Amino acid sequence: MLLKIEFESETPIYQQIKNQIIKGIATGELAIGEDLPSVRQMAADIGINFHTVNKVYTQLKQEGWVVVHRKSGVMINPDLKAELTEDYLQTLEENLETLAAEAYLRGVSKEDFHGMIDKKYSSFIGRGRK
Amino acid sequence: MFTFTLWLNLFTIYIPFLIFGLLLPNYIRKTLLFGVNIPEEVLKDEKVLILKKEYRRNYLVSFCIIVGLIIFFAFRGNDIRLLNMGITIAIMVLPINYIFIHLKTKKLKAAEGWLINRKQVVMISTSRGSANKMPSMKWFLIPAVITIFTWLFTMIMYPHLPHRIPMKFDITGKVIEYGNKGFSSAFGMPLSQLAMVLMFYYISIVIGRSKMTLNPSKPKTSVEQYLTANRRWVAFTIFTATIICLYFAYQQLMIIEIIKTSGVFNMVANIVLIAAPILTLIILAISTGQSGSKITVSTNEERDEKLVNRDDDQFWKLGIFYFNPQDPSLWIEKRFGIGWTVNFGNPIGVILGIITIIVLGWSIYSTTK
Repeated sequence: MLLKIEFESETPIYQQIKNQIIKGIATGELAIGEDLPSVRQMAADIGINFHTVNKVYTQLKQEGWVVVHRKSGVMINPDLKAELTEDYLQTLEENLETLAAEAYLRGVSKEDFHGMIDKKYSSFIGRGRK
Repeated sequence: MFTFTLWLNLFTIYIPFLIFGLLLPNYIRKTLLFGVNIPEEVLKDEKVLILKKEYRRNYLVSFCIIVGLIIFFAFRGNDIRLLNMGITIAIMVLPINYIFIHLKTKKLKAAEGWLINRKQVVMISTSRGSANKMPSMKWFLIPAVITIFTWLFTMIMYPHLPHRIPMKFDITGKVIEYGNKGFSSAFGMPLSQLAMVLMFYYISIVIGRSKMTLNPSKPKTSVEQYLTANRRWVAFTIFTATIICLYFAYQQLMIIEIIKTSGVFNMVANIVLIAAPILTLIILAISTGQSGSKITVSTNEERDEKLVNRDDDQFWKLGIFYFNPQDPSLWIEKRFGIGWTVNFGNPIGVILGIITIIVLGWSIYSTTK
């Protein structure tokens, strides 16, 4: 899978990498059990500090997307079961609220906003895991 | 002797180097123009074409004048030493011309605003040559076995060697210099052989891990090219390690007098063993180009003209030395040329740089002796 990193973006680099990996799992571009580069390799390829990549992998591991083996490195969690938790639903709602607020203020219509969510969500259905 | 050295230098060094410098811009990846990061589209720009012409003209003229002067003065003084020293001077003509045109290109880029309205990104692939695509490192067992045998033969033969052993041979295999028997004279060749194999082993690891710079406007094509290029270079490294190892083994067997060869055989063996890696290198470089830019990849990928590589010009000092302390990578592809260089912002890179300067300085010094 290709990762695209924007150094000038407002989104921090670790967040960009993390977002794209989760998206990659959803679209199936990253298969279950697929190897990811080591912290060193990814940091060197992008040209950023080891700690940034470490942060990405630590968070992805905590959330259950990847597993980290001392020997075989990092891979997409082979028994990935992303559960729908209370906590997650709450975060989702909060995030959506922020997005909706800004969209409203910038004059995106309710229909357009709906349409966008619909399109994005549909693009994952039937791909990736299950 | 003077005329022979003159012709030898002319045809094996001066003329190939002239052609190399003139053709080099054609083998650089399309997102670089004289070491300056550019969007691919501007390569068709009139001003860019003029710049390329200017570089070629400058290089041709300055090279011919310098080499002409070297040959003229060497000829007048019948001075072989000057002829050999001239090689170093002639080789310096390329970087000097390059720096000149590099700085000019940088100015043009700023004036024309090539990066304005384009998004600067870094693209990487998460599956770099999933190890199985690369030639297996087990191939290094061949040179390793040859080295072990060379050492074994030398150790077995050592007690039986005479007090004076051959040190240097001419092209026909005749001994031209003898030395006293001792560890350094008997084991010098096997030691260099071992060092060579280890060095080539390290190089092939470095190639597999070196930083991948993808063209974000055509990332899929670029990944394929990059991985194919790396595969070829690793294969080449293994091949060269084996040939060089064989060459050292052959020389050593002559030193410890296990084999005695006829003049013709020795001449042919010498030429073949030296020419094979060099010819392969030339063919490989021409067919691969920088980052595999000469490799045709069959993808019908559309070019995304809005994306351009992150502007990293500021990290390339004079367009030659990469200095970026924020970047943890050690090995990176050369900015102008085919091959790799180190990140001088990395402490290990600095150490490697110092070692290179010492080795280079020493070898230049020894040609002047």
